[in-house]
Amino acid sequence: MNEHLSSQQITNLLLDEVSETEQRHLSECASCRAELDHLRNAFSLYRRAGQEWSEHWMTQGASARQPSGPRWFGWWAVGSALTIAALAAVFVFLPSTTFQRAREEPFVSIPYVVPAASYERTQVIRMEVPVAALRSSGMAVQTRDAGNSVRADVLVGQDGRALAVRLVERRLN
Amino acid sequence: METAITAEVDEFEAVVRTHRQRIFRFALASLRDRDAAESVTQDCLFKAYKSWSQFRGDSSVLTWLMRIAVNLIRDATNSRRFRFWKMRAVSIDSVSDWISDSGRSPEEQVRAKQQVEAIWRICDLLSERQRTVFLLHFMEEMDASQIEAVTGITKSAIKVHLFRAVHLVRSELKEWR
Repeated sequence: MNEHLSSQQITNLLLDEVSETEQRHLSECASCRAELDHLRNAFSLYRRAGQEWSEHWMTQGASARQPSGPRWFGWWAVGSALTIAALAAVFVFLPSTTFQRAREEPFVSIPYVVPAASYERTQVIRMEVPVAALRSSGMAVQTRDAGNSVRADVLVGQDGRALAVRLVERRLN
Repeated sequence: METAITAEVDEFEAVVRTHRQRIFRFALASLRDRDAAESVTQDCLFKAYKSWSQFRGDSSVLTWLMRIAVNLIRDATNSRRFRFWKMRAVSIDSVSDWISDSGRSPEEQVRAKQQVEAIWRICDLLSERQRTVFLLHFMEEMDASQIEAVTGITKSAIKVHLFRAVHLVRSELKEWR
């Protein structure tokens, strides 16, 4: 008997494109028949598991993501309020010369990102953004160390993608 | 006029009911991110709705929708390079946790789980283009002609992509035979 079927021939069989040679070999070789059955079975399992998995996330996704119950919310609200108060105090009492504010900076769109759709919810989040990421989005940030980060406002789409960015301060950490 | 619009809306609602699950599944398997998959599904159906009146039936509705989805998934994948963090990260369970036992023995169940995990791991190793072809064939059961219509990749290139993936799966699954 000839050599066993190659991956290319197995792929043809999985695509239901069977040549006479492959068919003849299959009828004579129990090992290749077993391997083909094994692969078909594994791919079928993969497909069925994928269907169940995606159905779960489609139907349960939204509710499963949200932590439930009012108790955590109460503590979360208190924590958030205290954090906001503390931040406000820092900003009020901090000398204005500590860092340069860049309030007038416009938002710069991040390339290769699908723009926000008209129905899409967006929000602005302030965060420390790596300089390397800002440079790749076309912003000029002066620093010798590209590993630095800088505070910026990021416009975020409904699915969490960053749409645009604006520097809040130019002082590097 | 109003009746025509209502009929069009009803017709499109039937399309959504029939294909939404499939688009979501393909997006979820491609992106592994529940929020992004939901967003792609919505965008895909919204785009399809906007151009529904121009759909001439040159291809099947599913092929047409999947073509839109493939482009949106590509955009979403590109935009990830600029994602500095992941908001409300969703931990997506491994697909292998969703194998129904179907009367298998515990040993068979473990083996089935390992096989599905292995295929899933290999899917992760593939390039974006290879993964798209792989998922369209092995998850969505599309043949080479349908994949060609969805992706624009020639049949011979589709076969090469599938051959590479099958070769990897074949060597990975050898130990579970």
